[in-house]
Amino acid sequence: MDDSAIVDLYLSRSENAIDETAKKYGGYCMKVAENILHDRSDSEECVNDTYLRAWNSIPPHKPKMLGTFLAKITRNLAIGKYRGENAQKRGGGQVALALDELAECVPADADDPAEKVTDDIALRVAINRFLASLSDDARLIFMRRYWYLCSVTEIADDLGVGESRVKMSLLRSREKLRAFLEKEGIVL
Amino acid sequence: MKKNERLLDVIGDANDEYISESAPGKVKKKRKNHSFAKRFALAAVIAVFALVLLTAVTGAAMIHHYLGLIKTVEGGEPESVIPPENEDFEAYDPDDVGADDLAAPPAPEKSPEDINWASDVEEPVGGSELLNILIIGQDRREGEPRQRSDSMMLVSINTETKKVSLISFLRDMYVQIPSGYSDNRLNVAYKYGGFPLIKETFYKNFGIEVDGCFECDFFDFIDIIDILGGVEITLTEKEAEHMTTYMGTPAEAGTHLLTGEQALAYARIRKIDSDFQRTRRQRTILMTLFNRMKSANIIELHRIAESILPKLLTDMDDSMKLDLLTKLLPMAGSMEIATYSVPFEGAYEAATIRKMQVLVPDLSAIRDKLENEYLPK
Repeated sequence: MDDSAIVDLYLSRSENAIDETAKKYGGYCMKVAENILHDRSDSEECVNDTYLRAWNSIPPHKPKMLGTFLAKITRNLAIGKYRGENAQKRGGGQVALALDELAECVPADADDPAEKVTDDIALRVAINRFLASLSDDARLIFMRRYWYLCSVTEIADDLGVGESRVKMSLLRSREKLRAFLEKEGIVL
Repeated sequence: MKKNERLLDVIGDANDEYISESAPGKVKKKRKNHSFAKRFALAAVIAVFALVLLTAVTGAAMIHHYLGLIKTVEGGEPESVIPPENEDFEAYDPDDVGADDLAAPPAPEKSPEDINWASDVEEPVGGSELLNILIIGQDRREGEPRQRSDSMMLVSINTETKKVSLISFLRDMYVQIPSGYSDNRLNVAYKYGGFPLIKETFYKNFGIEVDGCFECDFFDFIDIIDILGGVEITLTEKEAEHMTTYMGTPAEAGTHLLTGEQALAYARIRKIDSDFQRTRRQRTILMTLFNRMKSANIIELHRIAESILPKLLTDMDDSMKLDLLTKLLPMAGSMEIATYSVPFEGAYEAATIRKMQVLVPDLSAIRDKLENEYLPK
C-alpha cells in the first residue's frame, strides 16, 4: 500500500492503519531497534510503541516519508530504552562502540566558559549541512554506522567492500565532523 | 547528558532522504571483483585476444590513448600561484609527530639568519644524461587547490645502464625556496608555485635537474594494489600493533597480504616512529608494487592504466611523455632499482626555526652523496 494511503488510514482513525504499517515497515523498524538493543523481545516492544506513537501523532503530523518517520521514532525509543536499562552490560552492543567513536568528534571546549550550548535546531541544521557535504558513499557509510548503528562488518558485507575501507571512510568522516563543528563554533 | 550522546541523538534528526537512502538492505552490493570472477573468466580470455590483437595492430594508437589519459598542466597552473607576500610557516603539529621525534630532545631554536647555505651548483649533480622524474604525493580531492606535498620521491633513471634510484626527500627539510620566498620547509614549494617552483627548489638546493613531475594521490595506489590482489608486506611488531585497527583482526609481526586501504594506512604510519621510517615504508610499498607489476598480465595492466592514469597530473607534454615511455619500455623487465633517503644520517641538524620543527640539511654533503653514490651510474 502507498504511504499516502496508509497515512489516510491514520487520518480517518482506521485501525487498519497499524496493520498496514506493520506489514510495510515492521521489518524495517525491527531492524533499527535490534541494531540498538540486540534483544528480540525488547525490540518488538519498541516497535509496538512506535505504532502507538505514530497513531497518537498522525494527525497532526502528515509525514511525507512514512518509513523514515517511523524509523526515527523507533530509534529514539530504542536509544531511550538502551540508556534506561544500561544495556551496555549485555555486551555486543554497537551503541557503546558508536558513542566511543563519536566522542572523537566532540569539538574542544570553547575558551569562554560562558559560551552557550548550541540549541537543538541549530545543531540539527549543522548536522544536515555536514551530511550534505559528504560524498554519497561516505554519507551512506556514516549513516549506516551512526544512524542505524550497524556494525562495521555488517556495513562492509552489505556494500561488498572491505572492512578497512569502511573504517577508513568513518575515520575520515569523523575527522571532518569534528573540524566542521569546531569551525561552526558548535558547543555540545 | 554526555556530549557524544547528544551527538548520537542529533544525528537521529538527519534529513529523511539521508535516512531512507542508507537504510540497510536498500543499497545494492557493489560488484566485488571475485564475486563475478567466474563470469569474468570467459570474457577475460576473449579480451586478452582482443587486446593483443589491438596492441599489435594499433600499438601506436593505444599508446597515444594511454598517454592521453594523463592530465597535463603546462606551466603548472600559474593561476594558482601563491605569491611570496602570502607565504606562511607551518608551526609544530602535535598530531603529526612520531614517537621517536617526541623522545628526542627538543631541537635548538635558530634564527633564519643563522643558516649558512652552500653556494649554488654550477652544473647539474649527476650530469644531465640522467632522466629525473619527481613524484609528488599529496592528499588532494578533486577541485581542491594544491596542498603541501606529503611526499616527494625522485626516480632517477640511467637509460644506458638500466639502473634506477628511488630517492625520498623528507618534507621537513628546511631549504631555500627561490623566486622571492623565505627559506621554508621543502613541502611548501609545490603548494606555492606548483611544478615550476618545486623544480627550481630541487635545483637550487640539491643541484638536481628534474625533467618532469607527476603529482599523484597516495589514495590512488589503493586501486592498483586492489587490482593486483594486494601486496605482501612484512610488518614489525610495532607496525603490526598499529595496523590492527585497519586489519580487522589483531595483526602479528610478520608477512601479511595487505589490501589497498591497509597498504595506504601502512604508508602513512608516522606516530610509532618518525618521518624517516614513514618514507621507508612508502618506498617498500612502491618496490613491492613494482615487482608485482612485472608479473601482471595484460588485463591487469590495462585496468591499472585506465584507473590510475586519469588521476595523474604532469607537466610533461605529449612528446615528452612519449619520449619517457619509449625510453622506459625497453628496460621495464630488466631494471635494477636501489632506494635511498635524503637527508641521511650525519647530513642534517634538527632545529626549531620560526616555530617550525625542521631538519637543516648539509647541502654540500648531500650533493656529494647524490653525485657519488645515490644517483644511478
